[in-house]
Amino acid sequence: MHFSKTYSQLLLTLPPELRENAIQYRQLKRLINQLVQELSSLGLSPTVLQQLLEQQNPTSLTAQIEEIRQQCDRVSDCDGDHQRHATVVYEFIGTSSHIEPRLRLSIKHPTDATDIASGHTTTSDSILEALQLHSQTLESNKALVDICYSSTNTHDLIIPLRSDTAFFQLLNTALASLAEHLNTVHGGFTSTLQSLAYAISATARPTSSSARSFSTYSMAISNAATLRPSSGSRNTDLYSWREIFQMYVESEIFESVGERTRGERSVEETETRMKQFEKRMQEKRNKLKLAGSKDALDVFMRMNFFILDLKRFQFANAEATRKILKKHTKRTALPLPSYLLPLWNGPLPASPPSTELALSPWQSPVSLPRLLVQAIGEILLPIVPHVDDYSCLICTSLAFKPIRLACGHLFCVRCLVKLQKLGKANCPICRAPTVLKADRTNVDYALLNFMADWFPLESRVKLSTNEREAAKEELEELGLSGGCRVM
Amino acid sequence: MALPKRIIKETERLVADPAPGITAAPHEDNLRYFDVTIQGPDGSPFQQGVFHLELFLPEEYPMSPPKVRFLTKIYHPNIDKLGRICLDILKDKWSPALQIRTVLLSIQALLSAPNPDDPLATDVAKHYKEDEKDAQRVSREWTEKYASK
Repeated sequence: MHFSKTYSQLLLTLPPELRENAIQYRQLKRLINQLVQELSSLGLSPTVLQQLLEQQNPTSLTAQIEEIRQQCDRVSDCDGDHQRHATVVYEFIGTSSHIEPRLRLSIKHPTDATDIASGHTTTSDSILEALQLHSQTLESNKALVDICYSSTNTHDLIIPLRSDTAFFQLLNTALASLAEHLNTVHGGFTSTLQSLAYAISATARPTSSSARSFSTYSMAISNAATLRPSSGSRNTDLYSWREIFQMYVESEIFESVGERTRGERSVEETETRMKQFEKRMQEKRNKLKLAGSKDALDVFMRMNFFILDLKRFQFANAEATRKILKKHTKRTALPLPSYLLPLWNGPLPASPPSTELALSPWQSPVSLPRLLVQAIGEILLPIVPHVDDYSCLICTSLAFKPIRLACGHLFCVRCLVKLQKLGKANCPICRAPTVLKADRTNVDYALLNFMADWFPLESRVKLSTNEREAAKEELEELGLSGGCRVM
Repeated sequence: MALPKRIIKETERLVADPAPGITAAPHEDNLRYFDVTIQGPDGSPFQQGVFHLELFLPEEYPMSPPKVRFLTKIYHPNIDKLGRICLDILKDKWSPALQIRTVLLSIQALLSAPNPDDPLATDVAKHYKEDEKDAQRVSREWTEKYASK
């Protein structure tokens, strides 16, 4: 299937506001055809151009282009190659908003009679002769071509390419309006994200926090040993949201965090993972207790599907840009200047010089879909604290009750007691000699409070595990281990 | 005896998201016993080699370090004939904040940076100190002979 067909079919599956801002592949293609006609009418059909350009070393050609771009009126001479009587340079003038491509033909009139007499006529020379004849007719038409005589026996023909100007104009405008649109999209997404964040905060709030807000734990009123966190989980979807976010993170829909596969996922891979995640969420949705939670989950899913659409759109658009430029080169035989090439390789961090096309959204190192995924990670996910951020590094359970060592590192009371019994003096994380100095005053009550609120189930489980373990240890120390168990 | 949560978590991650050049899989009948392979690091005499190790988590783990031993013969100043490894974090510098993963990465790093000043295999260390080039040649030979894939 032709790309233009695939492309328009793909665009049909995307939301209309994205579709409207896509690259107009067909129109651009039409302009290329016009350009080819325009060139042919000048006697510069692709084959002719091809041969003319092949005479010149491609690397020196790019150098020439760069040089000429800077000093427009300096004519590059043909490094003393007597056989070469003409050169063609495809050059760009204009500003970032308005680019005018044109052809510069430098034709050297043979001055030496001997040169002609020696019969240095090759095929390309004969083409050039034809061209020279043609150029004389062009010369008569002053409106179309600028001629400047740079020296006595060389003159330059400058042929503005109208269809090509239109081509770059269209491409440039499309990319600029796209950049603007994506900016709006970004803004809209961020504000939706903010209101979703409020909605989720409201439905995932721990039940106990309002009841306890004026009676925080302190050493004076609470004997840590008798503390029992409330059972929680009534009238809140705290645990459901935690599970949803956990599943979301583990699904690694848009990006992989695996040690061997780190990075952005392909469009196909993202699609598959998104579908799997959606399926799992359908089950989860029924377990949500509050109506507000269900609505919020729907919004959350829509936002992720939107990112997926944006990702597909970005891919299609980049592909269309790449293909159309490739077609441009292939059909006209005109080499594209090197500063346009970054387009071909997708988003590159290199920022183009100020006079270039406005391609910023595709050239910035971070693509928009990626930026939006990051925003979800920064704004939404931290609403529900994750147990891994509050777990003891030694037992990997919730660090309950939390002991903060003088060096600042956090462990659960159970693991700290074990370390002390073994006589280990140094902090397991930083090796500072803080372990044996720890006592009751090292309990982090603010954090203990927080954990009891946000992790009511985990704290209860951990507390009873701690007690069971401690009791068993005590028996063992008394020499009653093994078969004689009181519990 | 139930397996502690920490060991279960570590095992899951080792299998699901292995560190580059390292594999570790627990025995079905003893979940505290792991079959380990470490690829010789590029740029070391052990490059291209795949070394087999055994790793055992004692009852006290993570309060005491895992026991690790090379099963593949290796010519290295800090690894002896029996495959025992001289590495501080496996002995007095052990910390319960370290993990199976970090231990194996340290061993992989030890292959890149032999330390003949703190030897376990004294003859190999002597060789490395007196003629490093020749010692590396032997290490390469052994790698090819005993640790090829």
